[in-house]
Amino acid sequence: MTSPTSTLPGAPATPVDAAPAEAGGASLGHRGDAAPVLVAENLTKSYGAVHAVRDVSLACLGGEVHALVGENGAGKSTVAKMLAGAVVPDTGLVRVGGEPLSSGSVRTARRHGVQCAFQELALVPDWTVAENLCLPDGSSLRRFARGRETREAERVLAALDLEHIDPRRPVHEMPLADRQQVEIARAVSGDVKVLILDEASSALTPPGVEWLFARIRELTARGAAVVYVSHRLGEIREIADRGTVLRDGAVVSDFQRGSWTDDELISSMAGRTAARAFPAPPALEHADGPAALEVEGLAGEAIHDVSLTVAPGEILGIGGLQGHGQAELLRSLWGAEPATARTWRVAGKAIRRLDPVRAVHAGIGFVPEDRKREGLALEMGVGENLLAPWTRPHERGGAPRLKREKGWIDEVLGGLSVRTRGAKERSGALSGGNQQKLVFGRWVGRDRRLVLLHDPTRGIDVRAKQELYDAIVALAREGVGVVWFSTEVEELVHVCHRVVVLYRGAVADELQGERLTADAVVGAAVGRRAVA
Amino acid sequence: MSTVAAPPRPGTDTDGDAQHRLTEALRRVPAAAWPLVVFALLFLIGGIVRPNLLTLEALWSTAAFAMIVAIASSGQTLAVIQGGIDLSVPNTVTLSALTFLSAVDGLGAFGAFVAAIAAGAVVGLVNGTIIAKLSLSPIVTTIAMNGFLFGVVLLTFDFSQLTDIPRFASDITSAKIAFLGTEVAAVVPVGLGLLLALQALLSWTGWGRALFLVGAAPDVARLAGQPVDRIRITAYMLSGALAAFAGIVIVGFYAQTSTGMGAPYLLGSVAAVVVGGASIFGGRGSMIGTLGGALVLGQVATLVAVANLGVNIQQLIYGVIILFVVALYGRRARA
Repeated sequence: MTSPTSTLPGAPATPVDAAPAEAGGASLGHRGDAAPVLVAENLTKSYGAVHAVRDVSLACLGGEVHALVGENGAGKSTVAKMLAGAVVPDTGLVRVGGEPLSSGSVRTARRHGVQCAFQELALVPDWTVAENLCLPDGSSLRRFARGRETREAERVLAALDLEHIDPRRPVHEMPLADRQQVEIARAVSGDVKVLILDEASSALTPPGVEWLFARIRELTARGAAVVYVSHRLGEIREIADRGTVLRDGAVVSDFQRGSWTDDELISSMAGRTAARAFPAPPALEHADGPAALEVEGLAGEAIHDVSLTVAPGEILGIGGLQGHGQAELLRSLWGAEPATARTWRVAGKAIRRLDPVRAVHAGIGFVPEDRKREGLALEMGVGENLLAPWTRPHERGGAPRLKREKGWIDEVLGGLSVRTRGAKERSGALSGGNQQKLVFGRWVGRDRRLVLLHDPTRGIDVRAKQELYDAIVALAREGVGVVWFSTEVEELVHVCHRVVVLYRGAVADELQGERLTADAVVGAAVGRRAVA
Repeated sequence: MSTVAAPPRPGTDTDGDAQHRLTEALRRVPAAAWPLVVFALLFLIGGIVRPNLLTLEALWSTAAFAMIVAIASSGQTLAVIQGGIDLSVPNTVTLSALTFLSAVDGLGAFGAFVAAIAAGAVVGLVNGTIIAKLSLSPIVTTIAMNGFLFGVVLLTFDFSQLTDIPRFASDITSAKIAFLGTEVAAVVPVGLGLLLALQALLSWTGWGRALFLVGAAPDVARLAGQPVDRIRITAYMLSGALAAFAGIVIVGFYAQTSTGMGAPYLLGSVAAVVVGGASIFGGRGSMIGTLGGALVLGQVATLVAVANLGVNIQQLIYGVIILFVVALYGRRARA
């Protein structure tokens, strides 16, 4: 069998010429339709002086899943957006079923059967699920028929096995995972020849990912091509038939199902040999001091009677499926959401009333869920974003402050290997992983006692993850207590001292030592208490 | 995005490269400089139409008018940067001017000055508290406040008795200062000093930077432990106080009062701020830009006056300018 991947970067001119021949060929006969449905030829895109994508060519076959992997900043998202028609390439061409997709408009692309779901949610927050689902064909704008729309949405959701989503609910009220499913549902409910998923699984829970894979398999069985952009190697192993590795905007290698290992792929992405290794949590040496956090009977809107203790230097993992109170727990501990507790002490000091201003004073730090909306002011500079909690009205600000804090800023940027042009660069220009490092970096070297992390490694590349793990462990080694909610079970199992799993807003299980295994965390997350 | 900028490839697409270089060069120009460039162009155009407009005297007279608009817009700039708007500027101006004139007999010029500024600050405090604590829309809150103040002005003050303009007010505004062989109204250096001080406050203090943070991303500011409500309220207070200062300047410069004396500064202040490059959605703006915006509006007013078109046409042109600039920024934001 000829491998279509061999025609990729080495000889970029050929994939389209080869297409008709292969369509007639029986080499992939069991699929019935092996012609490249989607072909990208020599795509190039620059933003200012930065070459985001350089001469990328690839071909996606009907009935197959084509993975696009690379670190953040490697150009995956830009390629995905060009394939979807959302970004106009500087040079190069995208063909769908042999026809050039020239205009660079999402609408035209959609008419050609190219549907997409992006990591940056493209839903209208104030609209209901039903209105959002009907958005692509414009019917919500053309005439108002709420009943018909809701029925239509119900039918679509039921057909896609999403009965738990209420079509009448405004999107902004829903958890991120559900929003992402709605976005995917919107993409797959149309006429799909090509489906582009850009980090579409980043917020999904393991069952959510299973659901997504089931939808993908339905589509490929019908001969559609799927472009799958993800950082999660486990998912790629399971779903991808072929893949392209990007680095610094260019294609560095291709792979096929079963022909690769994690280490190979990571080193290909990083351009160096990198093992996926979790650092071990540091030894608990600070345990004699007062607990970093001691809370008993914490209750709030979605949490009931949660009691936690975190020793100084301890990393406490919070596990569980999304929407079982983890977000509310962290926000309550940060004072961003009202909550009460029988006893509540941070670093030995009793907490009576808490809001984020007091939390900063009490020695707490917080990395919120959504780095773009809650974490960073994207229009502002890297340095000023780092200083966001440390800006006081009566003190200096702006350039004089940056100058005075230069030592600290350089230390944070260097320590976390943030790739940036400097403290004055617009933080919105950084890649996702580097942005996340800024939100985390605020609390480094600032005499914190307790740092709360809401899934900081979601949707960032392998290298950035590794760097964040190291930074979290380094923080703990200094005696800072860490409360870390993660949707990646492996992180919890390997990097945390202890893991508390939440289920329906209460502690379902506390796992430590021998009992701290991935199976136990997942089991407790679905309400099954592991036998000790 | 990889931050290592690859060198531009030589020899390819020279037209595109030249155009690219031009756009890069243009991007480096600080946003606040654009209104000043536009003003310079309008000034030259005025000179072509009427050579006597191309003199220092003409420049100073436009500058005096523009400086008053700029002072009245300085508070508006703060309100817009933190993500709101202050539509109570017009009647805060009137209230302050009349408070100043009424109190000057009892409290002396300085006492009256303080009383008028305090009145403006209280207006801002109420605006800010309602907006921050009750989460009401800034447009609705401040426009209601504007209406309320109009009633207060009509009920409280007896216009027939407020005709004496104290010397203090004219000293800081209409008094002439010799400069380069010409005479400049005192309001120009006074206003320039005020605007530079406010620009320093915005650029170099924690309060100023927090104002931008709150305007650009309120959720981020809140979750980073910034006292968002307090920052908002102080911004509206300062906005009110600055509108009050504008009231004293206006009454000193024009030496007359009326119930509608603040009215031109509703559209005027918003126009100056928007033309000055501030984002109406918050997080962007500067005092220097606002001054440039006011100069553009002042030159437009001069040209309208020279062409004998009347004040109605001037308002119409201001409206068109606002729509044009907002549309322009809207396009750029999407691009």
